[in-house]
Amino acid sequence: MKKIFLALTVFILIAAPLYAEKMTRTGENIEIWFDTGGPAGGAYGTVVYNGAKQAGFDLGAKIKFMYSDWSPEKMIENFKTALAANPDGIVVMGHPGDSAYAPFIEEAEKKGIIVTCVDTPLPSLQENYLSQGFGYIGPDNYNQGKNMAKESIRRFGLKKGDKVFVWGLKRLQTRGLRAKGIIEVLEEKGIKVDYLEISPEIDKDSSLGTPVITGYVSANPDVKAMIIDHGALTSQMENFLRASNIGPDKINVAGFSLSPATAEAIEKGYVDLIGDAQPFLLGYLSVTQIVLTKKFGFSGLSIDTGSGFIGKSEIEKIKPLAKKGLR
Amino acid sequence: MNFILKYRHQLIITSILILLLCLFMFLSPRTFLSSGIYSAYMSTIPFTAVLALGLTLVIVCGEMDLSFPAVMAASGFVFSIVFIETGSVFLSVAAAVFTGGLCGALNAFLIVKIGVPSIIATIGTQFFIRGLTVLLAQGLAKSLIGIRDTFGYQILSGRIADFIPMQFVWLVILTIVFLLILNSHVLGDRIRFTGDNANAARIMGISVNRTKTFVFIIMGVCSGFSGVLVCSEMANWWPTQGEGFMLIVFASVFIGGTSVFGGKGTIYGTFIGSIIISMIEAGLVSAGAQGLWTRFVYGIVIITAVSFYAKTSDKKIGQ
Repeated sequence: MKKIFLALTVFILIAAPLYAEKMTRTGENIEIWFDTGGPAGGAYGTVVYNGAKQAGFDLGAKIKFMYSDWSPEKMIENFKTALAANPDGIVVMGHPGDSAYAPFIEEAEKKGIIVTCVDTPLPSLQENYLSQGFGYIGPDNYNQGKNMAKESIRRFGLKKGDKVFVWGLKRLQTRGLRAKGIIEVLEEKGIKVDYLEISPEIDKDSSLGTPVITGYVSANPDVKAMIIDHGALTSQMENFLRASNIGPDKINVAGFSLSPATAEAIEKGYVDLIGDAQPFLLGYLSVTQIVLTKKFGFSGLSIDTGSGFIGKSEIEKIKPLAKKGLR
Repeated sequence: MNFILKYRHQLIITSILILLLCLFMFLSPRTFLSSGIYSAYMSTIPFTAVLALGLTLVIVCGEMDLSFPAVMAASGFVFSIVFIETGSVFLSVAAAVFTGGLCGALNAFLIVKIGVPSIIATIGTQFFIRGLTVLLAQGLAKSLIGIRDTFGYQILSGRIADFIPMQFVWLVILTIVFLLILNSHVLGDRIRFTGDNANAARIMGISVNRTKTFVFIIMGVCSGFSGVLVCSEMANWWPTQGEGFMLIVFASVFIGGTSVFGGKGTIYGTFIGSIIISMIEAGLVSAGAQGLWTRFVYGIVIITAVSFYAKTSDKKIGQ
């Protein structure tokens, strides 16, 4: 009897898994080509990359990464390369705009490739292909800019007649909407805005920005706040202000994107407020979107990730994650 | 008259600097008649100028180097890693400068031994070195905040009398050394002869290969040292470090009067050229102009300087 029971137990243990329905990870056998937008190693793109990589690992999907140096032409070129490889899905950054992408995305949709968009929206294409899984994960640049200006007014107590310096990239069609949103809200409140366009050299290498800040603050000692519409420059604000002999908490500084250096600057009082687009979510959720559409036919999701704000009270919890490239 | 003819390039570039300074003082007296802006300039000009000094030797030697932004990032990465692991600034500087020299030696090997034209070889190494650095760093920036509490920081980036940044002192020392090399040392003659006519230099008994190897290693060392200065001043390293320097470093060298054809160039011109290029944007901002003006003004300054040089070149004067 004992032997029969033992044999039966062994049989059940070996045979049962063979008969049970095999559970697999949702993304297995799915290949996704992913454009991280920036250069390899760029601060923002690396966090997007980490999010997509994590989703690929969690879901079992295979991700191939591309880099575009924030060049719209390179993004289109990368899309064509991805299209030629005929993957299951492609994640694009929307910087080139609807009309530039339209013929290629149409071709991809005809071939059954799921396309979804992150960071900068493609509203017309999303409307056309929403049911085929074309979603948008990322901040609404214009709203993010407006929210940043409102939050700055609230936190810094800005009022009519105050002077605010805004350093941004208005020349970039969609990315520039953030600076536009900031300026509009401030000017509506009667705040005087000194807008400065970031030069291409400083855009590429933030260490060149010191004399610009020194020159501006020495010519405008009555400036109440500075809003830096650029992640890498925000991360260098401590150095810029130190070089200008401006101590912590002397000028209110707001900026975008968290990095280890920005976290240090917040702790020391050189930066007071960060608008966080939560780039990790761009990578993670866009991969998830494609996998879910491929497997279960879900339509496109629209998720605004740009509502996060980080100040001194929140930084302690988030700083270790910034060091790992997750926030 | 002979003095003016002999030093005409230096006089032109100095006049442009004085003119710009006077213009900025007139447009923005509050900024340019106070000391703060000059301290800020002295803290960032060395990043560009140290690279430009090295590049001057390369161009006078008749060669080209496009890899220096990547070498800067690679050396900065080594600097930050060694500092994080050991806490020693001096060891970190040595490792970073050695890395820069090694990258320069790689360029020299490709150009001198394999025979790849320098412009092509250094495009290749630019990608290779940047790629390797990003790969090793896993794309993540390094915070060096602890460096500000070290004695080494005071030597590299401290302030003398709370005004003169130490990196500017290093720049002045390097400029004097380069002036002596190019103008008063046999090495300078070899570099100029090699750049003017490599075959003639060989006939004269100059080791052209050794001279080229020397200038590329020196360029690597300069790139490494510039990377160290950026990391130390900013207390931070990031994977795209150096990418904004390519055009402004070349502009500094050429408005300084160095000939793109090799054989001719001035260290003083490069030094002043770096100051001019580095001061334009902040000058315009202080004067209330939009940042969009920066490139336009760069263009005017570069065109003015190189036109003067073309008009007053030896050939024209001889005519």
